[in-house]
Amino acid sequence: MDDAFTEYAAQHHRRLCQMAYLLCRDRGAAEDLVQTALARAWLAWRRIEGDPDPYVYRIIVNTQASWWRRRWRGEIPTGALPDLADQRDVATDVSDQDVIWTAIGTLSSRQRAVVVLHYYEGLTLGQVAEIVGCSPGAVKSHLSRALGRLRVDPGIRSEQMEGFQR
Amino acid sequence: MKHTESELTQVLADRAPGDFGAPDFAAITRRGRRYRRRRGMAAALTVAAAVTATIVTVTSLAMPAQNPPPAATGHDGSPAVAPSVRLPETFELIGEKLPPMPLIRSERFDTTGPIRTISYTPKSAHTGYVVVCEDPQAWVILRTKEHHGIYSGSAFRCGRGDPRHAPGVGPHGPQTMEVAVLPADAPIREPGEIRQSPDGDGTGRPRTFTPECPRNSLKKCGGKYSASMLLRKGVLERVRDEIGERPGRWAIGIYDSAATARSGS
Repeated sequence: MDDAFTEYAAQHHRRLCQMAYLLCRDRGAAEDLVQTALARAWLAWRRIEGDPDPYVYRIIVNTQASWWRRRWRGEIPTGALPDLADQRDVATDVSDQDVIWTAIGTLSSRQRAVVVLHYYEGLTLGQVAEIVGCSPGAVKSHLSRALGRLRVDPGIRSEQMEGFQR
Repeated sequence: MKHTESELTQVLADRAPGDFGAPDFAAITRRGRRYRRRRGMAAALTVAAAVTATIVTVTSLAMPAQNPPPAATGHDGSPAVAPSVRLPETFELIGEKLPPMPLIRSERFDTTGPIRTISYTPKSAHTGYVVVCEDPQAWVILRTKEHHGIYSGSAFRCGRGDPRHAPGVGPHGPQTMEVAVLPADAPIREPGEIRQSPDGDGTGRPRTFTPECPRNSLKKCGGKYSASMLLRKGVLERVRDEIGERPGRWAIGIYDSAATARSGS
């Protein structure tokens, strides 16, 4: 295996897994996504010029989108019941995060990718556009729609109302 | 940055788990090799398909004109089809108050002699067929196998009269008929007039003859096989063997009124 590739994978694996997790919200799937992306990057390693990050990110985003289209996303077995008692009185901050996290989960695959790349990875709209494979204008549009959707999310709205009341 | 956006960044940073293990390099290379194999197989299949297509094209271009293979089935009207064997796009049933029937199937051949089997599935009770030939004097023998190996059908000159027929079959599943186009000089007797022998031969039986061919010489100048004889078992095969395969383009088209209803809706 190429030394440069080994070094890159060792250094970036954790960060790539975190990014993949934010896209697919499943640890196993995130590790699988990253392994797929690194395997494809390994094949093309000699052809990659400059920073390999955009190339690897692009594989992760595209693979996740294709898996998202293909995979069953209906019932998810869970140990925790969704009808939890309201815990806002004891941990309001945690609840706020839960609400936003749940709302992010309702975004489309493309919108979520744009949000994660821009707000988590800190990439510019131009860099996001290069990874996602569309124009910066389209990225701006995706981002604007994603934020708009989060703003009108019923959970976030009720949180904001309660915040005002407090 | 707006309040909501800073919250978003914070949520994403907090939610990303930090305890992912080290990369499994053996698994990565294994998976990478699998992708490479798959990609290689896909590329090989693409190349094989391209080579096959090239061979087919080159072979068909290089094939001698006197023995070309039967042309592929296709819809009529392509520029490559010679005008002499161009099938009409619609077929009108004479005497029937039906709109012209569109062509639903056609087959083209480049040689005369062999007996071709044409299969089609009628979609309605009104179907028809048209045979067009490069040589309008070529013979068309059309037969359908009935029970006990008996044939029904007809023989006619390709360009003479109206070569269109309506078999009148309904939508009763796939239909098969055999068509042979034979050269104009095939030993087939012209369907002549049936007249009483002009001078009488004592028997009083009607005799078949044509103005060009005096009676009792029909076999010599008009051919030894009549249309009805060609429908007997094994006769057409015998004629085919006598004549052999010769160059000569022809086409047959099947028409169906159900296609009219579909295209009209």
